[in-house]
Amino acid sequence: MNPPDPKTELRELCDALLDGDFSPESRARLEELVLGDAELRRLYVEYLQLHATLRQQASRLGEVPLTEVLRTLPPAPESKKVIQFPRWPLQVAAALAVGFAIWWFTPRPAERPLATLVETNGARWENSSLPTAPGSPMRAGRLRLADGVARMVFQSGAEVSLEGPAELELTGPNACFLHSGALTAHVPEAARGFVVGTTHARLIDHGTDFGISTDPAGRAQVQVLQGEVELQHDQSGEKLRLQTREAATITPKQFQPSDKSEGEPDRYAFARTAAADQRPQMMLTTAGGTGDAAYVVSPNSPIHHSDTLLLVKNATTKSFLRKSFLRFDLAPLRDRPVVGASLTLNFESSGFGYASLTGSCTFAVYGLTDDAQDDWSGETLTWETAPAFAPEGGVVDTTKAVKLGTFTMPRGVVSGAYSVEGTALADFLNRDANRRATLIVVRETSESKNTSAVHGFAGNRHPTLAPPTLRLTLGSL
Amino acid sequence: MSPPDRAEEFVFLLARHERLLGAYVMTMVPHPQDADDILQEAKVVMWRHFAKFQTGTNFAAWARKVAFHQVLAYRKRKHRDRLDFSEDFLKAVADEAESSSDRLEQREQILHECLAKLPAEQRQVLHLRYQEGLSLEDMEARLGRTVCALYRQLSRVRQTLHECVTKTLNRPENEPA
Repeated sequence: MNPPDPKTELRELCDALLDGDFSPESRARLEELVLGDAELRRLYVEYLQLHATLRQQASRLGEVPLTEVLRTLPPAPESKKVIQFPRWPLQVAAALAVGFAIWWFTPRPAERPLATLVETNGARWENSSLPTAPGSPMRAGRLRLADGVARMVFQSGAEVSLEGPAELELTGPNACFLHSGALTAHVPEAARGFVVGTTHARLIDHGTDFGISTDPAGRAQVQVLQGEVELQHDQSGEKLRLQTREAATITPKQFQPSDKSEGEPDRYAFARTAAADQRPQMMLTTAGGTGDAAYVVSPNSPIHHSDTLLLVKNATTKSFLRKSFLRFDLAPLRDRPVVGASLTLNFESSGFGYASLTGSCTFAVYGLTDDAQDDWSGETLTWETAPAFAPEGGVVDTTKAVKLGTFTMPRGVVSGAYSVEGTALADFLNRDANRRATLIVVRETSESKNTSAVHGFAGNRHPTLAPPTLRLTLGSL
Repeated sequence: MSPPDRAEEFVFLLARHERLLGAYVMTMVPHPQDADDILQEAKVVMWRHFAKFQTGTNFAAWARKVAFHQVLAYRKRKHRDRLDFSEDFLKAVADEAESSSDRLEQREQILHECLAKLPAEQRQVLHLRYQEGLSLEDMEARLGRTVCALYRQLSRVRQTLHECVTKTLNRPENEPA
């Protein structure tokens, strides 16, 4: 038998050192190889560094601005106060330990884990924006479960079991939004106030076990297994309290209490083999290809700009109005028709204006039909030269653009993911001849005062949130 | 420079270099707890002597020098173990890490790209071993695969990553201008 090639032998010794039984003989041989050959010395250092970096991944949950690290430091030793000096190293060591623990484990709000995926059972995942390995910390984002069950625990302690097919968005340490599918939740006392958003109503928990399921049309069925929940209807403002073994249906207009709760939960069934689920899907962002994303401000608005957010605001004034423009490169579609489409925008507080002085706001998304205007650049775009220009903040020139959909953010809310979807969007994309689609986002709700919040969603340069994203379901040619 | 700026400067420099410094220590002391202790001690020593560090000079090199001395001190202080590397070996490894420090920093950055390309099954094995810190025996129970198979897979995944990093590093566009 030939002696192993020295590189292979070195690798095997490193494996033994890192994962296995490392004997004194192995140590002697490793030293001999590393000391005797420059190439092997280089390999050894690279290999161990790789191991160390993999290990450090665990602590790299995110990065915190320096100011937050400094807050945890004691004042630095003053250069000449020798009497105090001997005490510093310990205090600094403690402060550094605390400081770095904080630096490692409390990343910025946008990156803070909201929940942990505890276990999965027969889970098959679709393209999710979150990790799907059991044990993974999960930040804000969407889970798309094609099949099976996934159990997660929120930071608050609320436990949620998601049943596929389902789409769940994590929105806070004690809140989520069920886009479709079914979940059951166990909410311990500590997590009281757990919120599940659905298309037409919010469910607020008062310490319970409950189940909720939705259908793709946005209707939802709620069943309280034990305890009490409160439902708040978005449109009617109606509130409904449900106790143990009570159930209700959420329709687009209202609630319908149901008395089926003694029997089997009337969970909406889904056609698990529905043709639509098998169709190819594609995600496009404004960061891809010839895409672009920018916002414009009306004249005489000298302050409040953002590099990372695309801003939107409407008011009865002439200044401080903002509209956002998105361009998607449709070339990756080739000639395949779009049969389903949704546009998702990730909102985050801009810090401008007062969210508390802002009522619920409706936003509209328009599609630019005048292809000649698709050539704009975010670098040079201005209020008047922007495509489909109209001088008011909440509208566009409707001879050049067509309204594709609207969404509403509740009073005081300035963050979270919001989407428009539907056939109007899909049709618009199919009709776009030059394969570059410009979408315009405006706030229809106008405020009489300039103190209302400036809404902002992530653009192409946001450090953590995804840029505007089109999720497309494609048909065959 | 006024004292508060000095603390700020220290935290800034340490934050930037700490990960690579930790990896540097691990090339000489692969045992994770020992390496963490040494890194922590080195940070304290660095802060204590930070007045001697001249702003604008190479902080990473200075930090490695401090850490190397901490490795030697730790080794002396601890009961000598038959598995400990010899001082010659430590010296040779430290010299190698020092002369390749720029390349090692590039390798660390590229590793993240390469990790993203791994198939999910391999990422899961890395996740359990490194993030959750499970032993191979724990992983055997969790995944229903033998220790031997997991040992081989971990070896293979590290080798794949190492090759991916080397290949990416040698791409023409990564050559220094």
